[in-house]
Amino acid sequence: MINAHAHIFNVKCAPDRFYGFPVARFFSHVPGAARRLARWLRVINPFSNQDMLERYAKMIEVGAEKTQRNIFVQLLEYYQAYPNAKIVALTLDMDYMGAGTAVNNYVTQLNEVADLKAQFPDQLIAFFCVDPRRPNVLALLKEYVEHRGFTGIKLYPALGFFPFDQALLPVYEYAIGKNLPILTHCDIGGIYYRGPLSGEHLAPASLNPHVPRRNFVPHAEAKRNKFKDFFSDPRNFEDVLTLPQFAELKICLAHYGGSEMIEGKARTLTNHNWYQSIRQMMQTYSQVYTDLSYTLHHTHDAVRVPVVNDIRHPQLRNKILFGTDYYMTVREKDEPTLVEDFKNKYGLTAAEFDHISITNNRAFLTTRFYQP
Amino acid sequence: MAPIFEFLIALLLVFLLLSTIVSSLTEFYSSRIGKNARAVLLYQALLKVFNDRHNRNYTDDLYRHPLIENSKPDENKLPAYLEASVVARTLTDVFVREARKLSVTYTSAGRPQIHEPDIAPTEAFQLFRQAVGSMHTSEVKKLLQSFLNASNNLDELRIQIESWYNAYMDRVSGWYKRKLRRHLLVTSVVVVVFLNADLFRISTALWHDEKLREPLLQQAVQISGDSTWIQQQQGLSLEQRKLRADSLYQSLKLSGLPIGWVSELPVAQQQELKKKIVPKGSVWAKIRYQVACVRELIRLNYHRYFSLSTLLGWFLMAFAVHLGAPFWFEALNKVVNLRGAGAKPLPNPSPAR
Repeated sequence: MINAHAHIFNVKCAPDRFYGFPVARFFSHVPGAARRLARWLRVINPFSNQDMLERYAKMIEVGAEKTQRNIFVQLLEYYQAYPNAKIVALTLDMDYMGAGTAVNNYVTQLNEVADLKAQFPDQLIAFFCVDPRRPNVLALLKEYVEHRGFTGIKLYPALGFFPFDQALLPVYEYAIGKNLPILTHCDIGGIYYRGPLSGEHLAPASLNPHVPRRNFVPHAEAKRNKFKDFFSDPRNFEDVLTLPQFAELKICLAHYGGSEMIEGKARTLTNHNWYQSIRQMMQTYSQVYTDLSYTLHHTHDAVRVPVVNDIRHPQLRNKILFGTDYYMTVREKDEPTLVEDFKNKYGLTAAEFDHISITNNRAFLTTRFYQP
Repeated sequence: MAPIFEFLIALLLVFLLLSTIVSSLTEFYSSRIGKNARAVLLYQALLKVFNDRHNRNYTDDLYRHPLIENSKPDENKLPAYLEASVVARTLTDVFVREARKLSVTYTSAGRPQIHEPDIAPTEAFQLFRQAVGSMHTSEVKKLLQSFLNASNNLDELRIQIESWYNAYMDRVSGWYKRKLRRHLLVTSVVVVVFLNADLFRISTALWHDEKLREPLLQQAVQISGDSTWIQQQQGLSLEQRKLRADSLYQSLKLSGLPIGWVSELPVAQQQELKKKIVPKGSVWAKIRYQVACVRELIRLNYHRYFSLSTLLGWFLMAFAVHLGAPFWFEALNKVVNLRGAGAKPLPNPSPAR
């Protein structure tokens, strides 16, 4: 089986105000502090092993691991029951999210993951996170794909850029040339850009010459955690996919838009339902996928029923990938419980689970040079 | 003896006893988590030099290198000490590998293959130079270039790094000592407030009450006559230090000095609180009893405990105490000798400590 969506970056890779207040720096400069905090959170309610504080404590504890290797090895152990399990480790470039600096900058994070790839060539599938604001990002991407074993691209537009940013044009050209998969965050939750909004944020130009500049100026005063939905909106990718040269670009719009979108409860500034957009895009474009990461922890009918229906839908069944979003999910369930609950409570047959976790993931992750 | 000397000797003895209590607590702290504090400081010191924002955090590479990784006491702890030779060897290896990284290629079936670089010892120095040359301009690059400029081969390079590291560690030791002194000051403040040891009230009591000074003078003469008093303290085990701190605290309490919170509360109220809390007998009950007494005292005499005079009295006492037991022992000896009679023979020379 392949887990197509996991994170292994530790708190040293997270900028100062990753959580919104300067706690990451403290945790990363004082080794052991997060672990101690986690212990104290447990002391507050020692009688339950499933309360909210306990679960947050667990997440902090995983993130506080000294190295990314520790997090990866721990995750791999959870999949001992699955022979030849492979994990997609998504790196994250948080250097431009306007939340201060991280102890380990993005290049340090990449270097550690590259070393890890060399140690676990068959178990680790490394994705390179592209932020178009990084100078010479294409050269760096090429180095890591061509020499250091990275086989996919991660985008996290909520960190302050649009997927139709003109600076991404050479990246998409490179991706299509190598048939590299691109996985993008597509949920209203998660971390987001905390810096000031510039002209390019409020009236961005598209790499698609047929699409006029968008106008977000009326939302200039919106809170960042709301404005970020403009960055993450899955329809942004239509600017790219409608260009003939990118019609075959392999893109996974992760999280299936998020559980709130599936339930129809989510409210964005445009009140648009991302889940419906993703469904429609998967049917329109041959290489658009989604994954169930994070969303799969919800097992109630409002989420479960539409997801199961889609897994069995003839036009969508080859487009849905299995991934968990470890270790963000640790605050909901531990990894083995998450996987087992998903298999049991979603009522999937073994063949259906294998289809999304092996067949679909393999199709998405296969490149011109790599076969998972 | 002139009252001024009696007063001074008694006050110095109070400083000495309190600072001995604080030293014992600080030693206790250092032995439990101090080693970790040293390890964190070492990590932060290396982070300060090798976290290169223009390139990457080389401290991370150093700590992930097997030469250093294996010196960690366990998975989640950092090494408290790193030898200069280990750092020099690790640093050169990190940059040599930077110049010739391992690479990943793929078979025709799409399987990844790892290619370990083959580095001959003779080319390591050149590879180090090459790796430094390809770095973006930064402080780390300048530092590494300065090592390179003074060396002609890998051995000389390592010697350069070792001598730099040793000099840097001397500075780090200075930072560590300053950090410990800050801890000592914080512990002093906590102890002084916990004991309600207000310098002004204690001084006033000692100045006016001859009977209060008398037993303290005897104890001071006894201590100053014992040149091994401080060394004895340093040779004690943790448990012995705890016992000694406890006995010194008891001797301060029994001396009748205006120290502590409970003693200030009228007896009737003490009894009433005792009936309510202490019969339960646990350590927590004792702490709750102390807290209840403080609350009652503050309720009865709020203004006194939050007056500028009390706060200043606590702070000055804490400052005096944080100077340390050896300092006050020496001062006590000097003043006892200064009064002209040296260490006065005691009527009963049996050791009272």
